[in-house]
Amino acid sequence: MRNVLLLIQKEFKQIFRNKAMLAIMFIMPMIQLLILSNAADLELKRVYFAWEDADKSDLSTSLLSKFENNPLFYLTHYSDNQEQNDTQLGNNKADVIISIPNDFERDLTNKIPTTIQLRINAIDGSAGGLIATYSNKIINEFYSDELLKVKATKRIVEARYLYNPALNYKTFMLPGILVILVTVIGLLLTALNIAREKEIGTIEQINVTPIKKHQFILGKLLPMLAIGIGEFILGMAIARLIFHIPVVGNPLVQLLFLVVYLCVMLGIGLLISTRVQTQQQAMFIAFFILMVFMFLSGLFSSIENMPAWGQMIANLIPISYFIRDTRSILLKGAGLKELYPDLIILSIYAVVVNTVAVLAYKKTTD
Amino acid sequence: MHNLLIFIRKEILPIQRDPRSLSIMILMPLAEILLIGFVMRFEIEHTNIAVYDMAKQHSSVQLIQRLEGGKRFSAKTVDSMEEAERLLKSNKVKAILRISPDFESKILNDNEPTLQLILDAIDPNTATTIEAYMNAVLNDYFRDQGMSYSPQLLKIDQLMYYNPMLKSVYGTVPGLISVILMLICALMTSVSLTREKEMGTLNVLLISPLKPIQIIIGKVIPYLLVSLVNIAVILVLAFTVFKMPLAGSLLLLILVSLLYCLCALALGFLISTKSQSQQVAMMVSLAGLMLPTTLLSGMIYPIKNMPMWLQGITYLMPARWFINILKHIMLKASPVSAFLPDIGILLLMTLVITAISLHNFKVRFK
Amino acid sequence: MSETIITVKDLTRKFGDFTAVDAISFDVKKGEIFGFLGANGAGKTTAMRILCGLLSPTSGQAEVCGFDVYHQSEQIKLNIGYMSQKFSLFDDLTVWENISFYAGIYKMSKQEIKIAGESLLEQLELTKYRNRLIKSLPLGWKQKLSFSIAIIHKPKVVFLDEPTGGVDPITRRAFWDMIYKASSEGITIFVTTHYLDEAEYCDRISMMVKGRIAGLGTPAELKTRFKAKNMYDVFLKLARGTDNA
Repeated sequence: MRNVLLLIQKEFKQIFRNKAMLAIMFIMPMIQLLILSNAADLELKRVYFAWEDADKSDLSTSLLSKFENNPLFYLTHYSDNQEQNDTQLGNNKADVIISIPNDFERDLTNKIPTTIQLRINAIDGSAGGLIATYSNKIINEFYSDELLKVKATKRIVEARYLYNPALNYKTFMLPGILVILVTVIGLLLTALNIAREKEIGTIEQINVTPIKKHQFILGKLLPMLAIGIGEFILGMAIARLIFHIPVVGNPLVQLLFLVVYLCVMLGIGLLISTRVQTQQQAMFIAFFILMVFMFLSGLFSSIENMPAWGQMIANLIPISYFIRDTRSILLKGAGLKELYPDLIILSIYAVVVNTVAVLAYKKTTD
Repeated sequence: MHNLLIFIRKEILPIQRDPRSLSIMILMPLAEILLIGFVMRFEIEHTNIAVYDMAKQHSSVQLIQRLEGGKRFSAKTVDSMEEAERLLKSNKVKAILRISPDFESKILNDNEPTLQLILDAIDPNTATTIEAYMNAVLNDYFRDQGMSYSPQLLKIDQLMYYNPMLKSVYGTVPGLISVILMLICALMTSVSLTREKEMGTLNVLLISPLKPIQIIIGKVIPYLLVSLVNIAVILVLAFTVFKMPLAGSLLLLILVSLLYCLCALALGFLISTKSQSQQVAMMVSLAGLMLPTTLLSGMIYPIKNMPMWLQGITYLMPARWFINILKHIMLKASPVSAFLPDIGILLLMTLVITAISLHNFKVRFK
Repeated sequence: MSETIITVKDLTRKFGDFTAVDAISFDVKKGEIFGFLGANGAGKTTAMRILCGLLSPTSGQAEVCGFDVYHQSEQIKLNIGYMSQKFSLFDDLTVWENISFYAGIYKMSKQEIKIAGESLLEQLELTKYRNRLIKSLPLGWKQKLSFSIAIIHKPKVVFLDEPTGGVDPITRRAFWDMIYKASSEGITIFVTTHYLDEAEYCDRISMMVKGRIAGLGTPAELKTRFKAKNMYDVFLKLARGTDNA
């Protein structure tokens, strides 16, 4: 036990003496949290449309004003030149071109079917789909109001938004971004740590001492665990005080999950570090793992949308558990009763990964 | 010039001699694009919901059958609201549909909704999309129940430009290419230089007759070659596996990609001039670039949704411009003039970053 | 005085096809200063790393302080000190922090650390630099400090791997004074070097050439056996001898 304490003391001294690393560990992620939490917003807030009107009748003008009066739609361009309008689409100046055919008014009053054309920039597939849906809705309303003269719209279903009633994107993203930041810093630092001692040569000196392998791994794990917890708490303070993210659940349950999760990730880092010879190798492996973890974590695109095999991978990686559980605890008020299976799985990961790390660390080279 | 050539050869040799690292630098981006590109999906195709049917009448049963008949929803019937909420809390379902006891009696009155949809709104995008889908299904149901509209005279013809199948791959693949190239390139140069700093070999270079600019060029060219291989591999994947179209010129695509890599390599160089150790360089290039490049490049979250000050920050992200150019060349068949400014900005960024790192480098020199 | 503390028999270490240490055998007696001489790449460091328990042997036997290198390397580590060729104190810790860290690892009590540490600083005249970071010290000081820390827990044997590489002759001389002092306190010294003048300071030396021991004995014995004026001649004759063979 004393050896572990000595190692922890040593690590802390080394960490806190290095001002550049301190800034990287605490200030850089918090700045990212503050800035990036504002970036993630998938809500379709503004749709810029170009109006292409071959009819220029009263009826088509009244449809135009329907669009203009909709808070979502903004007219950016008015032209009959189809090519010019398509350029607008290409330059991202317009998201949709609404094209009214010749004789629009005459046909409709004479009950002859006619067709409005929507040309949508659909590179972002889901936004394209939503623009189509909203445009359709406006045109259909226009049709029933102006031509059928009936109020066809009827509220069939009443929707209630639980856990995030204001549909605030920050509430959704911030805990996830924080988890990613803590993960990136923790995994990288541990992955580089032992590799660095190998490069400098201090590991040799440790290896000829009677320090036990598990003591050594614990001595590396615990300081990083403390730093990870500190970072997370700092991030949560920002979330509470600046972004007013609700904390519904029990903070102690959150802490418990955090500790177990960090043990998994730091264990992975240490495992990498024991297996490589240089920091460069450690960094490339950590980079690969981090990219996969980040994109498959369900932070950006939900796991439910992934193909079946992708869901299988996503369900293997610890970060997807932790992001999901963090959201459940903080925002839904879920507790151990609902989440204990995840905790068990994460704990098994933690034990396995760290045991493998201890076994992989060789004081004697073969 | 002769000096420079000898120096470049010296820089290429170690890369050549270390096939393991070289293959990591080339295979890793390949694996990442494949894995993440396939798995990241923004289309919400299937949703589990809980249905609490308090009416238990012919029409409500019919409605549930209707819901299950479509591909969008899997309904799990529950017998109490508590049970439904428990499912929602433990992430088993994304929404609860509650059917009031007076559903059938009120079905023909337009008065008030008798259906309640309670959504897990932590992810606002998923919640609103599920709501829209639910509305569509219910609309169909009620229309078929006899409250029919008069035959539709006004038809809508939707043309989905650039991405007719609304595939999210078209958005994610250019984004992934940008993030991966940025990180790999910045890491390669920043690490290689700080490594020499740590080992003391950089001093040898500095007292050699090589000019600082020659040192930079000599360091960058080998990695530019590696990047060229990366670009080739990634583009082949994009066109074959992900079936990305190529609307514009392939040569231009490769040249622009090279310019972007050069920009990232220069950025790595800049980081190395300011880092004292490999560890700092790696932390800054990886932990400092990964999330910002992902979130501020417009890869996932539309830039126009961001607050103005943040939109300003995105101007500083090379990836933002590169993604734009990629979409122009691959998807939009735009004339070169449409994205010439973007290329200009990338070029300018590369020059400025190189100039600053050269300045830092010279300061160190004195 | 003839008690053996290190016994090595037919010790071999291969790296793939390359045999770094080729069936070497020797004994080291308690209290001796035992020198391991040879050119770079002769296998000195490999042999020493095996004895310290840092590297496992391919075949042969070796015992250090009565413990077997195959199965009891952790017991060996309790009884030895080691100073590696690569400088290995923590650069970003102070002089005192390094001392107390390593002393603590060897289970010395706080009181013991204080006494031993203070006297160590005094001997090295480093007392006023106790709070200086290691990286700010000159190389010679670092090496002396490394050595002192390697023996702070009074090990039975201390292994020194080219301890005087890269320092000036005066510092080297001072360093050897420290070795003699440790030896007089009963610590067995096992030292590798490629400085041939340092060979003269050892009680016994083993000359390694290409993984084998080409000559073993006191400096005087070796000089007479090979009819050489000094160790330099002995070394050249041995090196050429194997080349011709």
